[in-house]
Amino acid sequence: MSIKFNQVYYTYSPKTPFENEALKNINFEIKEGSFTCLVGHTGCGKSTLIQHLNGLLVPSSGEVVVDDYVNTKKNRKMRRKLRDLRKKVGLVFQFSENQLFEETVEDDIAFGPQNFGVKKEDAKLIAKETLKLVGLDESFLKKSPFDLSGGEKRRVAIAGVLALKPDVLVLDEPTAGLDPKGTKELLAMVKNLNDSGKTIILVTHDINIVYEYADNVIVMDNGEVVKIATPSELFSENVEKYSLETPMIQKVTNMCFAKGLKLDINKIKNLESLVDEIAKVRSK
Amino acid sequence: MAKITLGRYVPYDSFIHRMDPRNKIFCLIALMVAVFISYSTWELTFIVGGLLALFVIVLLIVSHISFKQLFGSLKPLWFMIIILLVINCLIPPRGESPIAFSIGSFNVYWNSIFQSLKIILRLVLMISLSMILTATTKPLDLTYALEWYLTPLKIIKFPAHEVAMTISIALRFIPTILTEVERIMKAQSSRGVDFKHGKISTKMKAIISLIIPLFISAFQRSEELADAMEARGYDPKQKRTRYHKLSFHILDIFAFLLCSGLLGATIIMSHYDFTFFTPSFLPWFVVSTLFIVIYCLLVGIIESRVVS
Repeated sequence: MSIKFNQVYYTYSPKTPFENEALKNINFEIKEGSFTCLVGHTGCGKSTLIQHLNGLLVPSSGEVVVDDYVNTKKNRKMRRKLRDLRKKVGLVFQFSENQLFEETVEDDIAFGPQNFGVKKEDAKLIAKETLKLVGLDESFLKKSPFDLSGGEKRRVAIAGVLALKPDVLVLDEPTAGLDPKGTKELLAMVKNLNDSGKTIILVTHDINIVYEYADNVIVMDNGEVVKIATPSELFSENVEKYSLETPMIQKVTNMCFAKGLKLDINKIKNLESLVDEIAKVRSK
Repeated sequence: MAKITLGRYVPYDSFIHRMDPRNKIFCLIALMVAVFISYSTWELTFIVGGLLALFVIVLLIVSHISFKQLFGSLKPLWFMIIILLVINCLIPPRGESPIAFSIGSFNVYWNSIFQSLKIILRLVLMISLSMILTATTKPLDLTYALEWYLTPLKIIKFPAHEVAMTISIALRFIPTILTEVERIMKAQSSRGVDFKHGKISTKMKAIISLIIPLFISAFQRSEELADAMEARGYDPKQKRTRYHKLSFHILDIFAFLLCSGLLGATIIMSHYDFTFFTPSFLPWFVVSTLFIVIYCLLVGIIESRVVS
């Protein structure tokens, strides 16, 4: 299932003094099963863009095609099938822990599937499975979501979206406000989901995450897509013009190059692979 | 967010926007009272009502409120207007009244129709007036003005500053909470909640999924705000100075005179039972019409100068 943006424009509060063109001529395609990162500084339209993916926003002009669903202003018939789209594309908002409201974690995760017509008992089974998926054990099922720590709440909220079994998972800064351990575990979980075949779209500010996990990077600036590339392509050029930093790993690799170590840049994704590469070169 | 336009401050630069908020509140009250004064004859009621409506229309144009926006905010009123009409027609009017038309043996009197028309006119004018106030005044300025009006009550230990601060915080957080509502609604919609359609039981559930997170975040926000204010040494008992001082200008005085003049004219007309065509009414009519015309001209001149 591919996702395609065709000349998408979006304007907030048109024809008022608050008018604001948030998206301008967005064109790109995301392949099934890929891991795409969306970067750009605050207010550049990332959050607006991802809300087009499951029909929360309808483009002011242009179209967003997700599989056989066409999200466009003209297409009123399609809006009836909005539920199918919402089931296909799971959207995890920034600070998603704010969406928890049920008395127990189990009920909260089971809430989503029930909205799509799954029976209560089946939904509870799904809740149990998904909770495991986000790395929490069964003892959490009966707890109140409001007694959990920030990181745990975030995971329960993500589980609430995962319980819909979407093919595409969109996460808006899922690591914001988490401690380093929580961040690492969450990303490992997202990577696992990607390996199991889900398409992942991740909005983030953390360039190191992009470097380590992404297959593709979409760079946005002021409502426009300014660059689409793989991380190694992107960071091989000077990224300061997109107001991005060079990732730590890339910096270290560059330093190694300067010292005469001939490393294979394509094999370096994170600290482990960097050390492996250095060891390999040294042992030659 | 864009849907909630009723009474939202719109940052234009017009004479009414620049008016002193204290004066604006006074003028609003004066005009509202003027709108609600009743007269002995229907002719007078509708002539004065029409004049006031004309005046309000000028104010609406000057303050850049689009009529589309106004009608949008009047939409919920339709239901009320119909009920009003029906009830007024069902209840036989006091006193003699010519029959407008009959449905079978049931008579509908002109008085009932006029009565409902009067109420509708008053309601529409009242809503337009308050919209002019809120659309042209920053909420914070409004609370400053309110505080100014409440200051004399300090003698009887009324916490004027605290009340004004509470109101200004509440006003300040309305847009924030609306954004929050939108965010949570979107998050829950992504989980398959349908806020628009469905049975009442599922709708209830949908509302609960919105309200609980909303309350939690509101409480959190208020705690954080209280901490932040205390951390910056906020003490309601202290005397404070302001960055923006409220000040009266010549046009403020003019508006003040105009509105009090209008109020006075309506009171006198109502009190002395003027019938429209008696000679004693004429001076008042001429004076108030002239006043309105001069005012509109003046505002027009100033506006054109600002624009150019």
